[in-house]
Amino acid sequence: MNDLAQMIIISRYQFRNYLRAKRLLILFLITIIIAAIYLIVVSIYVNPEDMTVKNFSRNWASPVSFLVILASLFFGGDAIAGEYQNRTGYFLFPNPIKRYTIIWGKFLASFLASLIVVLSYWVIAIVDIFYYYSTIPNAVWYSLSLSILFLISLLSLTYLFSSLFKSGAIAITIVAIIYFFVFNIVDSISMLSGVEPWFSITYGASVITLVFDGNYIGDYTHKQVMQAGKHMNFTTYNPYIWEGIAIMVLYFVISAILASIIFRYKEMK
Amino acid sequence: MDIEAINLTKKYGSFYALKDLNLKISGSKCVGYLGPNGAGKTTTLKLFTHLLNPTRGEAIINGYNVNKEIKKALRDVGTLIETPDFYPYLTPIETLEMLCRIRFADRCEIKNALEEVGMYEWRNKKIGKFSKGMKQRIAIAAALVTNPSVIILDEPTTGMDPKGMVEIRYVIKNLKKEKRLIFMSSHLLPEVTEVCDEVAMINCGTLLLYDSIHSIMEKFRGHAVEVAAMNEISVDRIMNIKGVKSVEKITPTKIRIDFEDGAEMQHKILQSLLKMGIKVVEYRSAGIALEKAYIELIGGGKK
Repeated sequence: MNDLAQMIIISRYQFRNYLRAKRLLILFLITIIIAAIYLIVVSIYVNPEDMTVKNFSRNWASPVSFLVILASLFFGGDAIAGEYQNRTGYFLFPNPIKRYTIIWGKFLASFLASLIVVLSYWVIAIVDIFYYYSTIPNAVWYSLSLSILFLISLLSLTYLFSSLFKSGAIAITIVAIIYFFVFNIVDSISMLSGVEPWFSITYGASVITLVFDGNYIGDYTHKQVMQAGKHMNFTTYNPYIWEGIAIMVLYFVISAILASIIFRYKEMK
Repeated sequence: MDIEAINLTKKYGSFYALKDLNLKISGSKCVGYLGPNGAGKTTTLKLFTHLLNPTRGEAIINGYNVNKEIKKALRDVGTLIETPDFYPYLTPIETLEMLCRIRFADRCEIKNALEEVGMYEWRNKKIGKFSKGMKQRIAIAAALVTNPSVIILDEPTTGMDPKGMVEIRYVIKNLKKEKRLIFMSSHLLPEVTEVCDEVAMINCGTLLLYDSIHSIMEKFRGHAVEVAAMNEISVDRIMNIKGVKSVEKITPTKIRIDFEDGAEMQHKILQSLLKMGIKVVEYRSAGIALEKAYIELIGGGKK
């Protein structure tokens, strides 16, 4: 029995879940709404002629991180925990299939579903950029690639949380709190303490928009210190492009290994 | 076809859910796995199906360690553990198709499996709306659909109505005709007596007995009968029958007679009752041998 073939079977059924549970449809509609709002705002309040194509594109790239976080929650939050909470594990696990095959099959489906959503947004963005400027800057393609890397690493982290908990709802809630609050708090603490938050995935993912600055090699200000009153400084860090990529790759690798090991030994009590 | 536990142990903190289980079951037969709630039955079955990891020892199916070679060990095994739930967005047909695909098994048995458990007419409905009993039937179909030689069932009639219980017992009895090893936990003694060839009894995580039903019948034969008659029965007269130790009146027309020994004595008592003019309408052993064995062994285990 081929592991890869089994992985694809798991993936197909997980993807069918996203389709039939209408998760993919809901997130797709949210994406369309975000893009539509942006299109309306641009057509009413922004004159593209007053902006460079890079700045215009950067504005399109800004909500991508939010979209990636939503996709990770929608498609990864309960992917593993749900098997325990809903007792479907009693059906799936006692089969001649390795746990690694199950987790990676599910991951593949989550990635494809998320990719559809993120690429849909980028397609609208690229069409709009081309409509106004008749050109697509290279930074758009870099930003798109980095957003896919962010998606992979964040999904991997979400799977780690999902394999830690036995309740899908708790897994989704905790992951949402961590992504929307904890990482932002960490970034804020870094501003006050002056310590570079190289350990924060959202810090690494900021290269998705930073790639529109400079010449795509991180030739922008890495560290900025602002005086705020007599005894207070705010330190803003911008990761280098390589640094952002390294942070995301490390998050992916470490989370994937931990999630696989935890799921391998997790019991159906 | 064999299932083997070698010093199989599962420990939670200082509590042993299963302690040094040594058990080997081979060949085509149905083995009942008996024990009270919390005895370690489901723990054992979960260890054999890779839902739990053993603290020590080995769970081996067809020569392969379940924990180390899951694909080889579970290749030819059908399972039903607890009452599983299914993906609510799938129909019974799609659920069994998924299982067949994962196992690279022939899908032509799906129709038969659904018919066998009486779920064929529901084949295209989403499982999410099914009752617990219906899901249990689907779970049994899932255990059978790949035509495995080893079947592990955890209380297969749980959650079913009496009609469903009878149907599932019939399915299991039919499976026995097809050269399979069935390992089935239950706390329903009549069910085990009716369906199984052998019995393993467990309590407090320890195996107390593993023997054939026939042998248990011999060892734990009951020496009491329950008698029902058309009219009121006089206890004093019956006490005079040779071999009768005691008589207990259950109702005016129903009594329980304890006697000394043997099937011959049981027959003679019946003859005496009829000679006395008692219109006997029911005459049967009080309690089954398995029940007696269970109470003696499990009771002893609790002390």
